[in-house]
Amino acid sequence: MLSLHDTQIAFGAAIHGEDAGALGELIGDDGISPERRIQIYRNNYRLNTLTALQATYPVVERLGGAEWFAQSAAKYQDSRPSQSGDLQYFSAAYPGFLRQDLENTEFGYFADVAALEWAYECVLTAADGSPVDLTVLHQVAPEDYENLVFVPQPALGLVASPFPIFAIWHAHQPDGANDTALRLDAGGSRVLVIRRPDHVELREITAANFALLRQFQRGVALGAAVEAAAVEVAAADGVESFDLTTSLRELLGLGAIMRITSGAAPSIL
Amino acid sequence: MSEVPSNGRTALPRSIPATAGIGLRAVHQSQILRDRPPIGWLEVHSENYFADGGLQIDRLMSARAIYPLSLHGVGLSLGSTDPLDREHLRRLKRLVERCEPALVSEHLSWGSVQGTHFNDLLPLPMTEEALQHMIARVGAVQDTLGRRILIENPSTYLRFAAAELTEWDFLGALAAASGCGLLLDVNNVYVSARNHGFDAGAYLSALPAEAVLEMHLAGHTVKRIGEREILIDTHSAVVCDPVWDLYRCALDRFGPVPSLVEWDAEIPALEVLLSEAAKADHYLESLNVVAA
Repeated sequence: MLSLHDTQIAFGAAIHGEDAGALGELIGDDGISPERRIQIYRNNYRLNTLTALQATYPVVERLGGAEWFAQSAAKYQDSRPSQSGDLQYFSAAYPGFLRQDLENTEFGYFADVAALEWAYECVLTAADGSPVDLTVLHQVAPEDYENLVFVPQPALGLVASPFPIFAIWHAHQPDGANDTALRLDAGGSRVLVIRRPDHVELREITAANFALLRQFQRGVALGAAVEAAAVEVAAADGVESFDLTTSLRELLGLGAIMRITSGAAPSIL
Repeated sequence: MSEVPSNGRTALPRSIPATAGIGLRAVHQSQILRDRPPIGWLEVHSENYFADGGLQIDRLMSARAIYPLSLHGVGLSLGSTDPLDREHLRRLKRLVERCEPALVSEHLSWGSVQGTHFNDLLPLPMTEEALQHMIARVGAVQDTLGRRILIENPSTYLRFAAAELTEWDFLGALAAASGCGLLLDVNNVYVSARNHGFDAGAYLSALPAEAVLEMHLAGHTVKRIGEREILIDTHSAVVCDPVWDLYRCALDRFGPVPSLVEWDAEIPALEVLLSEAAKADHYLESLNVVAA
């Protein structure tokens, strides 16, 4: 009899499709071969992870079809086996996998749709936050504004794509139009994913708001964030002007900011 | 709560009565919170609520305010020789502290080796080495959580030829040495007994009665392999008659204990689960009438 550890190594290898011989000697054949018995566990291994991916990426599955999705899930599982007993973690790297796997194909946009669906999942389960109390700004001298750090809500995600992923996502919801006439060259999307009290909201936002919020997510203080965002907007768009007052008003109106802190000291104002 | 009858039995706050409960699944969440049907208690898969915050946690806490709650883990991989996943255990502890469940359970199984997880309840060899390993791991979890946990017998589709113990002796020894309770999955006993040709009644007779604190009931499917049949624990069907018969034997042996109807795949309308739970309640009440 092998040790418990070696038994589990042999079992794992057999599930992965390697020679089940070592495990077979431990099981014996009682009318049902070890290979057939192991196949039951192989099926479970595939099915459990496929089910987890289906729950997180329903739009990608609708886009690619059930058969393609099952094949893609199996390929993903083989290249990046689960590293946690919590299957939610397993789904995390799927957008990156699709980006590599579908690179230079007409389905490359699936990766961006998957990134949006993963952002949805993360926002759904992120820590709770609350809208910022703006009266704290009254305590700050205008010359110190550039050092303020705007901390976004934890339940907030940002996904940008050269493809119209916002429209694609909506069209492929269970009650969506399932519009197959969507044009991939209809323009890109910058999507804010944010949790509301009873649902997760997806909303397209401007290049300026997107860039500024992303700087805030990185912990960049207001002055430097504005500079970086303005450069990014000019490079990406060339048309859209950057109006800080408008952007801040809109982001605060969206409830995207949880608190404002002084850059010099981490305490909450 | 007046909406939740106690079936004549009194439950202490947060304790689970010896009645039938159902597994709370996402598709039924809104209906249950809105209609508050008469269910003795609810059980959820712990890992589904490991989130830092959000809607699922809110809904669980809303359900928790109405019904007694049990947490049932499927991913701790207790029997693995890989190190215990401390992050997984930290999240479980946080959830336990959040919702103060009446029961916390896991499985007699393993699920990972050399860092790769199979996200399944894989069978352990019934050896003295595996027993000592499980005793240590259950002890570590109980120490971390600061409470007793229950360990569930799995459905198995293979057995190791060099077994040194029966599964029932393994579970009895585990309970005695670690102080854990047992979650007797009646369907799993039936499935494994059919798959391996042992006497399910003997299994029940051998378990330490005082350790069995919860039972599970579920449906399975039958797969043909050549001339043989193998039963697969799919949780995708109603409880079959032989499993109900075995459940009644278990009630005779262990007395009335909280009994859960599990359904995890091809989940039907809530009314179907409630109907199965009513059947379990009927057998539990029959037992009380006989005892009286």
